[in-house]
Amino acid sequence: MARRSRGQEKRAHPSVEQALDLPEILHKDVPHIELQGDAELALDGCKGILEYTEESIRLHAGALLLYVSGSNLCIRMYSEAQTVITGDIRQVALERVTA
Amino acid sequence: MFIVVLVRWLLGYVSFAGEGGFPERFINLCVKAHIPLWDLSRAGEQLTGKTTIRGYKHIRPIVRRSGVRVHITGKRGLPFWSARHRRRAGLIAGLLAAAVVIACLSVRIWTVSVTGNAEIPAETILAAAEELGVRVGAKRSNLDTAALAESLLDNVEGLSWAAVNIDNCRAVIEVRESTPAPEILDTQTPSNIIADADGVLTKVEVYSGTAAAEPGSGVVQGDLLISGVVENADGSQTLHGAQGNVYAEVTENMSFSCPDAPFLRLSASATRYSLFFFGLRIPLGFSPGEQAYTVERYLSNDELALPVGILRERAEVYNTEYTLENKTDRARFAAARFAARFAELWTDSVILHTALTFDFEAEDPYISGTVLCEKEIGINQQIFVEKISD
Repeated sequence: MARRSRGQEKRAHPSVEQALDLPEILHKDVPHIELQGDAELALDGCKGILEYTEESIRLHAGALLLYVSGSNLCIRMYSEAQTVITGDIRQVALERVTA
Repeated sequence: MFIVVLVRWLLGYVSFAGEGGFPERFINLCVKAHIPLWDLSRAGEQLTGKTTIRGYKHIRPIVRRSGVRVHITGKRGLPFWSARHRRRAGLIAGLLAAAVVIACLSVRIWTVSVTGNAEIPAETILAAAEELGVRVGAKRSNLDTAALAESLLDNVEGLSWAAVNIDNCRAVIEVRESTPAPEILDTQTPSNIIADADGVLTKVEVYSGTAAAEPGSGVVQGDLLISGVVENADGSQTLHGAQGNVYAEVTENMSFSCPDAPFLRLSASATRYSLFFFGLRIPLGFSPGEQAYTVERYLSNDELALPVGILRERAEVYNTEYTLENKTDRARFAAARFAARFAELWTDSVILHTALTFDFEAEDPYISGTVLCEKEIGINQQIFVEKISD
């Protein structure tokens, strides 16, 4: 019997999701991003930091890579649950992770 | 956010700076090791941030793996503060004592006040409330305001409505007074109105009974002015309670001098101060006696008096006899007695004429003369009737 991967184990069956009208953001693999003006960005589901400088931060957010650029960027909070970036945010870019 | 900052301060935290190596790997490893990081920022090659005390103790293996050289730039929070001041036992004890005092006093009544009373003295209501348990220092949770209001109505006469409101540490007793019933005139008991003083009648107003004297006639004390006996048309007589007002010009003789009878002056006194703290009296000496009066002074601003203050009890004994020897003092004493009597006349009657002589330079200063005034002189006198059975 083939062993299922960890992601497959946690994800609910699509028919159940459709029946319960569960929003897509409740999936663990789908990052939840909130942007407040150009001063604060909150990301739920960050898997790690790939690059961190004063002008740019690149985050691994499951199926996506999040690229934030600006100036005076500061990681106000960083945990498995939520990451908050503050500073003068000028650009936010998303990139899909390819296998 | 304030709660988060407060908790971090209470638990203590460390500010650090790191250089070299791989900062991103350092951050990721910290999160994997459940070391909380916040306020991370980069300035060139340097990485700065904050973490908990416990987190910093576990940061060494991560530093080795990531190659980042980390050093502490600041220590903040209660653990570091208390460690710095651990030799100042008094400061810590004071803080603890303050915390305990605040915790204890915040659940108790600090002040009790009364509003809405006009005729009934606030002291009466406060005394009744104190008997029921509403006093300075009482526990707020023990006060059943609805039951207290009911009991106040029962215990204080003249109240029509009462409420006890607890506003944080203040108890406010709000009351409404009942309207007193009007006085019922006794018109059934037979009575006459007679003269209370000698004089010449100026006005006779008869409401019930028969006038027995006319304006302009002179009367002496005890003369009948209004009779309670009314003659009916058929010649029979009926007894009534005479009612009316009779005014007369009355001459008041006034003569005042300083008596030789000795006065009494203060011979002994005793004072005791007491500290008052939330209903607790701490006497600072022996009791001055049962006849002592008390002066209370509390810490207060214009609106509120705190239940912390000083009580001054003082008892005074006047039994040393003395006589006024100074002529000026004797004259002043005679003038004061005259002024007091004249003020009484001024209040009770209309002053028509005064003829006074005085000599304050004499060996025994005096003031004497007559005051002609118009005032009511009628007083009721009951007619005693003997019932004769057939």
